[in-house]
Amino acid sequence: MIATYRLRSGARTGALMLATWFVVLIAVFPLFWAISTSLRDNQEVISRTPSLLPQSVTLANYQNVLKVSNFPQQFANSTIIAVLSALSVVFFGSLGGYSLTRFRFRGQALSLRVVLLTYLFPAVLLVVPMFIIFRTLGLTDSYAALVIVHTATGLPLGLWLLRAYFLSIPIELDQAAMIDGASRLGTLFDVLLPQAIPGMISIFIFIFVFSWGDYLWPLILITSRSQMTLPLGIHTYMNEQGFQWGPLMAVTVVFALPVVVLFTVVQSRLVRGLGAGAGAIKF
Amino acid sequence: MAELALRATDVRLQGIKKSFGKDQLAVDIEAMVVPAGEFVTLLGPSGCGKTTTLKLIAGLERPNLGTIYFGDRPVTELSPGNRDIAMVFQNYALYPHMTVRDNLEYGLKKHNVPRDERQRRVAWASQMLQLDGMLQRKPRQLSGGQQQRVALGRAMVREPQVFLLDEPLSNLDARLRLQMRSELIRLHHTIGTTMIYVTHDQVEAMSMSQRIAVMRDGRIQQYDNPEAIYKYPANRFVASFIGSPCMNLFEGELESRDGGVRFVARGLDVRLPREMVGRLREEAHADNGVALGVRPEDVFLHMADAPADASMGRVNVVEELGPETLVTLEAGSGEVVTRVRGMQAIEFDRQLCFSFDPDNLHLFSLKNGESVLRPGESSHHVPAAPATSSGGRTFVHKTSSSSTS
Repeated sequence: MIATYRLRSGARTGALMLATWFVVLIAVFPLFWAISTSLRDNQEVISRTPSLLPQSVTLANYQNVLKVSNFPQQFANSTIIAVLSALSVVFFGSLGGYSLTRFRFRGQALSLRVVLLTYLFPAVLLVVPMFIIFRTLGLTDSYAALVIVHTATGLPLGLWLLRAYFLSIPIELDQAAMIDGASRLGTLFDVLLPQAIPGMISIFIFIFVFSWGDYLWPLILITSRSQMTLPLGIHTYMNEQGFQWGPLMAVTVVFALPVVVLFTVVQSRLVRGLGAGAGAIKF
Repeated sequence: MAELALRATDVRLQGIKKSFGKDQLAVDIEAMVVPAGEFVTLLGPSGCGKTTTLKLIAGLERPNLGTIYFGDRPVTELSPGNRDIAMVFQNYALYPHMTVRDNLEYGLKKHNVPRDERQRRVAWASQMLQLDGMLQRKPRQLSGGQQQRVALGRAMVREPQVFLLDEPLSNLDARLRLQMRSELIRLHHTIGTTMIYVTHDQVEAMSMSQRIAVMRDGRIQQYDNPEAIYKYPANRFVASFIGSPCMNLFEGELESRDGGVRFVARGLDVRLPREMVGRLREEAHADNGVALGVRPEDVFLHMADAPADASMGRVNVVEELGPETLVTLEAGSGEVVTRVRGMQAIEFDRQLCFSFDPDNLHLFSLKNGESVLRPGESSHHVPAAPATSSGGRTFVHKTSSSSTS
């Protein structure tokens, strides 16, 4: 009986593994192909008989991207905008989450719902109004425009998640700190925020990735080459003359790198956090 | 420690009203004085307003009306941090990300206590509470009892004027609770600070306090020392809330007969002792409906020769507890619970005579539940609150319109 069961469960596990690897293959192959292509020279890229691995490895595409194009500038732009957006969502989200759970004010429940409502509007609907607003404010073609838009789009999620975090912190901790002589802000910084750090990190990563990969808003709000973000920069390798596959793939690889690194670092913890039902990273 | 005792202050509540929402009055206390250095318990069932009262004293809630004084200093408008108090919470509320030492020192840092003084106090508290080996640990690495002691220590190092405790023992298991109870008594004895303790456990209240305020529906039902509360409950609520098992209550009437006063109910005819008749209030005579209260230990069982006024009952339940046995009788007057010394082998369904200890009878009005007896003379009886500089009413007995002292 036991032997049969083991056999069966072994077969089951095997089938499951096979299916998993199949899915992983589908997901990973494009990335692999991008890396592989980025390491080939031009001749080989357009060769009629493609091979999985490059015949002769070259870093020419990367050199091309780094030296000739505007890539370093675009990488810096994207980094600054993504970091600032993520920081500002974490900042406003934690302050908002704190006040929504620790104070009572008129229209509290309503404001929370309205915030959620804004999350439901598709971006396409907002594109033209936003453009007009930013043009009126004279903010088009600036970091500020993208940071503001990314903060606005990401804040509902940040606010709701951090509010849930603050809800889970017992109010007695606030009271204990207040009796110990801490001010409201002191309580927030000394006692509450340290408890909310996992949630803050989750939100930071989420908004960073969203802002890093966003194509629509930079397309609408950025016009000059010097302000371009990476997704727009990638697009310049696809034009009427055709696709420059080698450099395009090199840029794509470098573009994916920060996200991959970020997730590799926190992945195991993220999974653990999700398993615990917290929906966030546990440290 | 001597300087600590000097820092203890009395706490006075005057005309305190607190409501949440429109018509829900959570706390309504006309006057209450916690004398300096005393251990006072707010006791009552859940939802009676005892925790809210404690939070009002702490400053975590603001009263809608009334003033709170620490000594002569009105503190109603002060924030909790400026009141010079410390509080121990039911769930301990230790800062989870800080070590035990940081937990202990946090309040001191916030009050700019210099470093060597902080260390002196932490050393003192950790030695007293046996926390020495665990100062570098985080709260989650400690057992419930240890966390409890850290919470106490965090309050102690502050050397506060008033020490507030909100059901601090209710999360501990029975044995540990007993142990912490005696530790708390010793702690109060050592540091001599004014302590205000909230609990729903009458045993904790009776064993630890110098004074108990029994609360219900936001009002103080009786405020007195444990003995007086037990011996002279001010109303039916206090009578049945304090004591386990509950006081026996029989509803009946008072009759003047044979040159004395008798309590008469179905199956009962009890002659009131002369001393007790002298303590009867006028209300007792005005309306005849009264309830006679007798504590289980004041019911005598007679195996052989019964006195003339004894009643009969049939044994219904026998609970042998070791040092005592609880016997429940089914009598004409209803169920009667008695407490007898030692282990008693009493057969079920046996008919037994019982009588009441005439010196420990209680009488309550059926109309409003108030005691219709003035408290008797007791060597330990102290007025519920000493005279204060405010010159206000010193005895609090909210539900009665007449003064009891």
